[in-house]
Amino acid sequence: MSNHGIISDDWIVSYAAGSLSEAHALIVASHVEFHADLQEKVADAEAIGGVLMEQAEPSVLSSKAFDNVWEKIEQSPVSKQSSETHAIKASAKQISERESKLPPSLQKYLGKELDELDWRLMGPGMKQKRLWTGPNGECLWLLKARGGTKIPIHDHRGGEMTLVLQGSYHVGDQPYTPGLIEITDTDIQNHQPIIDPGKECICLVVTEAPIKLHSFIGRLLQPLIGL
Amino acid sequence: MIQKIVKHVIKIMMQTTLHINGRASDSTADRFSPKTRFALCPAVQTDLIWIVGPSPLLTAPTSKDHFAEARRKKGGLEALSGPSNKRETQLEWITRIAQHRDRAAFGELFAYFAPRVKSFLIKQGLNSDKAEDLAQDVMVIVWQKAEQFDPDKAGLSTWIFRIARNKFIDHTRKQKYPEVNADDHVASLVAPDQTDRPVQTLQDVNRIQSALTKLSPDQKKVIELSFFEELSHSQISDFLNVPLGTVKSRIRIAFNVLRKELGEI
Repeated sequence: MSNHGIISDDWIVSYAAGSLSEAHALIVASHVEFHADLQEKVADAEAIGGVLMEQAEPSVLSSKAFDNVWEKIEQSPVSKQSSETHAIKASAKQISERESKLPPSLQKYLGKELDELDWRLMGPGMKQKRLWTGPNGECLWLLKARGGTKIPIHDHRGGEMTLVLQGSYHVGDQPYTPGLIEITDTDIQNHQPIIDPGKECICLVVTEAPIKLHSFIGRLLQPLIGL
Repeated sequence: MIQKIVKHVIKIMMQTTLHINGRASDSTADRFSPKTRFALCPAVQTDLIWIVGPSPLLTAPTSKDHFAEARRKKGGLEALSGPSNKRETQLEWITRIAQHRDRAAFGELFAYFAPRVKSFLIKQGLNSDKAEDLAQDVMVIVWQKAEQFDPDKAGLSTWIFRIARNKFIDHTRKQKYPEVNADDHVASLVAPDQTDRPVQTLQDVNRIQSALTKLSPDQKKVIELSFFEELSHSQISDFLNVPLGTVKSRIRIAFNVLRKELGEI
């Protein structure tokens, strides 16, 4: 059940059912896109959703429902486009997605490549780019760390998920390489990932609550980091 | 004609299952007619009532499509709403929409799916008006994106489910739901042994339906709560008053039971 660096099936079901936040849905979708077997699982879970929807007792629609839909279709700008331009656009998009080394869902979400983002300094050897903040202090962000960097020791007040996009790091003797995800539960203490030497490591991270740095300097800097 | 339709509706309402023998008069129709008997769930009744309502597109299809003609020959409503839970019929609809912008096919797809999408949205907690509004938007997207549907990647109900789910999230949480791209994965970054297998989806509606019957009541409950009430695991845990770990493991076990059933061809 718990394969190292692979999310468990209850996450897959939650993703398919639509019950994840934007941050969690993006990190799960990106992780899934690294692994064909997970893609298959998502497709199966969504198929189950489709069947449950199909099995639902049908509701009665208003008598105008179909005409309304038709009106919306005719008013929509999309239908005025010829399907040819549509196809050309779609294939151009596919090409740009394929050239990117990012998972397609993340690429689509960012709308640009990693080196085009405005990274902000976070600490020695570390940069961050905040992507989204949820209602309960939940945060989606990218971490870029130089090879060999020791991430400051910190505690977690909420869960944290880290997906490696490039480079790699270790936590103790556990390696995390591209496509693998590290999930730490609430109240984990003394969490210290160490970036493997040589290559820059970039990760997509979701933190459920602000992390708590241990060092005095760290605590002074915390408000500036904003994570 | 109206009398005939009403009679037919009554006939179906009195039965819980309906068996149709797929003896079609021409070979084109035969390809898409049900060769084996199938059950028409009582739920289809509402569709029939809806279809009886006014819709110029349903009563006067303009397309010269062979399938539509064959279906008319076979006799109206029975053929129209009968085999709609058959994968072949559903594929035929979406193909006709994608390739020929076939309004009659869209009418049939609409009659079958729109009431179900609405029910799904009501179960997610929307009121009837809002659910209908969003169900209509979902149908607009189905028409607009029909060309993007790939029958090799997913069943039609899966595809429409995704659209409905994303629309619902967009509406209620003002969030975009990132969609997993099922077409390719990040092969360049992953060790080869992990990427050999192509994405294979084993999605046959009937098989999933029968797989769902294999779940224990507890397992079925957590799956339904996940999909229908769109509850998070901790909400399900509160709702059922069982520990969070139990909810998670129940979901995992249930999902594996379902996948195992689906894998047995």
